[in-house]
Amino acid sequence: MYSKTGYDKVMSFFTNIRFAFRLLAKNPGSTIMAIVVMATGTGVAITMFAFVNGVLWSSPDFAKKGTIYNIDWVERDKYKNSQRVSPLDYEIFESESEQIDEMTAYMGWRAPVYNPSSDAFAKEYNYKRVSVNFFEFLGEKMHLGRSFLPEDVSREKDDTVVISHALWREQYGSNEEAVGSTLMVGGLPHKVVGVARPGFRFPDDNNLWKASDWPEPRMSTSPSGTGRRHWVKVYMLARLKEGVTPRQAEAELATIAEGIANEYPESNDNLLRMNVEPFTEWYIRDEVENRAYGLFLCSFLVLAVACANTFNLIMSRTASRTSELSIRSALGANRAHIVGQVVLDGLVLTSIGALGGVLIAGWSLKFIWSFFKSGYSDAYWWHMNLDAKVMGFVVGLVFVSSVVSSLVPGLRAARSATAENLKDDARTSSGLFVGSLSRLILGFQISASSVLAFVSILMLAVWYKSNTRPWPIEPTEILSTGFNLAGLGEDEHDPILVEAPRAMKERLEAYPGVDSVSFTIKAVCGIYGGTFLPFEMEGEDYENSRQKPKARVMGIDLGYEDVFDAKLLAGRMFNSLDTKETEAVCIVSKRFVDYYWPGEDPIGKRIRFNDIHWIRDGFLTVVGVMPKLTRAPLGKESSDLSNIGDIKIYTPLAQGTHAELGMQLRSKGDPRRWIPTIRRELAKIGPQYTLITNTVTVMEDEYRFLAKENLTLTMFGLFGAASLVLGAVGLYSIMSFDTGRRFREFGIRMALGADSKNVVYAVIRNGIATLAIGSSFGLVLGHTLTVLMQESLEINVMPLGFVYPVVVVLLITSMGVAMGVPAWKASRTPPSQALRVN
Amino acid sequence: MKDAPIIQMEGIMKIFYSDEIETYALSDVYLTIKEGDFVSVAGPSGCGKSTLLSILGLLETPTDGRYCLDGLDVRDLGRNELAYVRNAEIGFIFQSFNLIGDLTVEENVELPLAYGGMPAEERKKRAKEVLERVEMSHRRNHLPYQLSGGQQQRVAVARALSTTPKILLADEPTGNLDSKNGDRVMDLLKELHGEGTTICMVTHDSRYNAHADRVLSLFDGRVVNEEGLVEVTV
Repeated sequence: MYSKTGYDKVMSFFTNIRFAFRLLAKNPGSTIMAIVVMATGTGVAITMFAFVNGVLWSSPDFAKKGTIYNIDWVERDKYKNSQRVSPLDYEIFESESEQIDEMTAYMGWRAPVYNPSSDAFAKEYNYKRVSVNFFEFLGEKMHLGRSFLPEDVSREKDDTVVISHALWREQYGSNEEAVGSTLMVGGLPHKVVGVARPGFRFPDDNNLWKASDWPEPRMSTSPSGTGRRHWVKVYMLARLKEGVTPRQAEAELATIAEGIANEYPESNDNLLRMNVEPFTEWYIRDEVENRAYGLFLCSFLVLAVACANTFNLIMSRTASRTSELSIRSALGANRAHIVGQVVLDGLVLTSIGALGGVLIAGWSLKFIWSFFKSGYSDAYWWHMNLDAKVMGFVVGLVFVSSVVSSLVPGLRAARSATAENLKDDARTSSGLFVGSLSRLILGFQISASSVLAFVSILMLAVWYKSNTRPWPIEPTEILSTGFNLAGLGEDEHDPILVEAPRAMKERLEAYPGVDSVSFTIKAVCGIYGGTFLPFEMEGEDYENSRQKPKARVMGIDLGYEDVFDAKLLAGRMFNSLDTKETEAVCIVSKRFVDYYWPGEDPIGKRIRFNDIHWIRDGFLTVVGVMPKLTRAPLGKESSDLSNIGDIKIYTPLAQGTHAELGMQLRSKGDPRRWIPTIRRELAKIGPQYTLITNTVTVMEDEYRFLAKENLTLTMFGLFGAASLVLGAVGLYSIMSFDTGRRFREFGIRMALGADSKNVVYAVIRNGIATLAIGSSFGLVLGHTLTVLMQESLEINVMPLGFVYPVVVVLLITSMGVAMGVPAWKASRTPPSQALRVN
Repeated sequence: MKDAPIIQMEGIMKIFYSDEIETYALSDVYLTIKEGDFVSVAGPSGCGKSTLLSILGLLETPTDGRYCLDGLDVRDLGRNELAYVRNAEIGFIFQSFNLIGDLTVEENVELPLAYGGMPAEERKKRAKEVLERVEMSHRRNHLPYQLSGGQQQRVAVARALSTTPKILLADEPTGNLDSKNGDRVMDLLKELHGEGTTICMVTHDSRYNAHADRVLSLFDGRVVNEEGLVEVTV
């Protein structure tokens, strides 16, 4: 024997590759099918891997290394659980903890930013108030200027801000003189002291950071005197000391928290436990994580179906190569050569398929990203790039898929008897390969397709139902926007905060085409949301705050009923006589009455809130009952209060308001055309005020709100459809191959008198058992998985019974076509032609 | 009724079209086979023997001409009607046996009976009879690959006989057999002919032409000679 040199081996490899390509070109039909199948399977898997890699597994990069933990104060009453703590408590945690190396805190929202040195309108940006040590904690150095110093929180000096690199480019055109300039933030002057490095937007997609020592709770004049119930609450971040585990830190923090709760029971008795979690994991909410991993799992199921398809295709191709492989064997090819030849065939196929998969992934990631970014502000470190990690995954995927798809056919080819194969091929078609293994793989394909069909149909049904729920209002005619009038007037109780918006309302309603304008506080789109607050009913005694009833509370102003066409079910709407000087009043929702006062007349009843700065102290008399203005919930009506957005209390803005106002404008036709007009009218109150970024119709806002939900549901649906098609293609190809192999048999049967019906039956008989077993198994598994998903994803929308017939009809149709076409073709072939087939 | 024509062919023509080439497999063939005849079709490879047999067996339709089987003009029959006639009137014996590998001997024999709609019990009885007739009943539960070539061909003969066809069409029945087994199969066909079965056989082996009443010679798709047995030089 000769020993091969490296050069020979390389040349031999290329010869084999060339042969593999020649084989692909020889069977263009099955080659294209295999490539499309693999491209679909790998495309789905690459997409989901890139998603998981870019969102779930990515984290922000800081100069100072080490894990940053988020610390949650988890409350017993989950409706009230804001995860944030009073700054006064944060100071105790920071000073008393021995397990924590260092801590910092932040809180934030969006704020209008106006650069007086430019001609541009004010614009809304994400804004955070942070502890003085915030940048030091992260190890961040400034691009320009400096980070915060202790004197930045001094009441004697101007407020200071650090701006993001993006805001610096946008507002200052990258002018270095920005440092030291004055910027109006939330209507108040702030001195810019630094510009953050490019790309830094921590903790989400932030643009402005302001140093704060959280003075409000200390300045609060609440009855308890502690200020702990002040609305200013902060998120806590920490680095643990070396060797300390999150569980140890949780235990220590819980002990400190219990001490605080015992000392201040009025505000802190609701503590359940402390939760210490890596920041990036905490940031991705559990439900997002569950859905993403659910989709990731489904994508692998689609890939497995594609691999099973390719396995059977390669099995068929190898079977048709029996003679060629046997000749190779007769000429001295050893087992490794034969296996290598078949695996190479698979490798070439899957590689080309994976190239298609990368293209599909590139397109679908763009689509997903556009959906993803249309929601609310997301983490700046998230991405959906096909980076090195993803490409490594692709290479691994190609290798594993090709081995999974072609190793077994290769081994079987190498094991079969050469002499028999040569004889076998000479006389009849080979029956060596399509046996129980192929049927098993086909059964798996059908099961997996059934599972995915089940899940996807349910998801599509949820998506359909979610998007076709009736609206009690006209969502396309109502524009929802808002602005922050911070700095207008002396304080939050200054009448100008009501008078200025009302004057603006009058001016806007004077425009022909504007039907009505109204203002709200604490509401989303004027109808959703509201602050979840405990209240007291007159005549009831409560031992502690946990016993108090709760409801979502929002403030509304004159014209609300016109904008939303709200016809009160009882009593009256607020009017111009409801002022700070007259009786404090409120309106409750119908759902509120049904829940708390069933069968009673609510008008004249009285309720009270404690120490809420935008609600008047003392009892409020119920003067009206508001109808339901929101769409029906996606799931069943739940008795769980946290799921009920419709137990509402409405208070009049004239009796308690807030600088942050929501505004709704109703007009005939597209109300978005009024945005420039509203902006001009707002500028009349002050050039530093601007509309919120999210200025859209109520309909658009709900689409945005549900964008991620819709994306998940659509992706589940697409995966299911892809899998069903792949399953049908798999069944079709194996049935086609089987039919081709049995062509001669059909000729014999026809020669013996079999008619078309007999031939069709002979073809589908083999597939029906596999189909029945595979789909039954898949349906049971699909049912179980769907029930689990419904629980984990909190989708509770319709009885599962509806899905069964649809899945069965879909399976029968798709698989029926897959089996029926080859059967029909077989029955139409002239028997003499079939008998001539070798 | 002896001497009544079972097969009548008039001007049969068969053209195969591939790409732009027309191949005349049969041209202007006139043939009459009477009940009880044993006709042997001879000729060189590619002369149209198998095509003629395929047309006789309704496996192929002629391009032109008229073909009556037992008085029935088959030109206008549909696919399923042809299948019915094939099942009821014709028995096939192939060179490569063409038993279905996944069915047992008995099931192979029962297959045409099942297509004819015979009840299962009757089928079993009939299969047993014909298998006994070819001395293969003891192997009825075997699969084809467990049998020798000669045994497989005897099973194929039993299958062909199971429906009591009007005519038995044999395409090179001894082509894949050694001389001993070939002789045995030919003896069987001769016996069947002796019992009154009509047979039309294609063979390359001139020795077996001696078993036939008539020998039909084909050349380039045309009948060039038809002689009585006595006039043929073996």
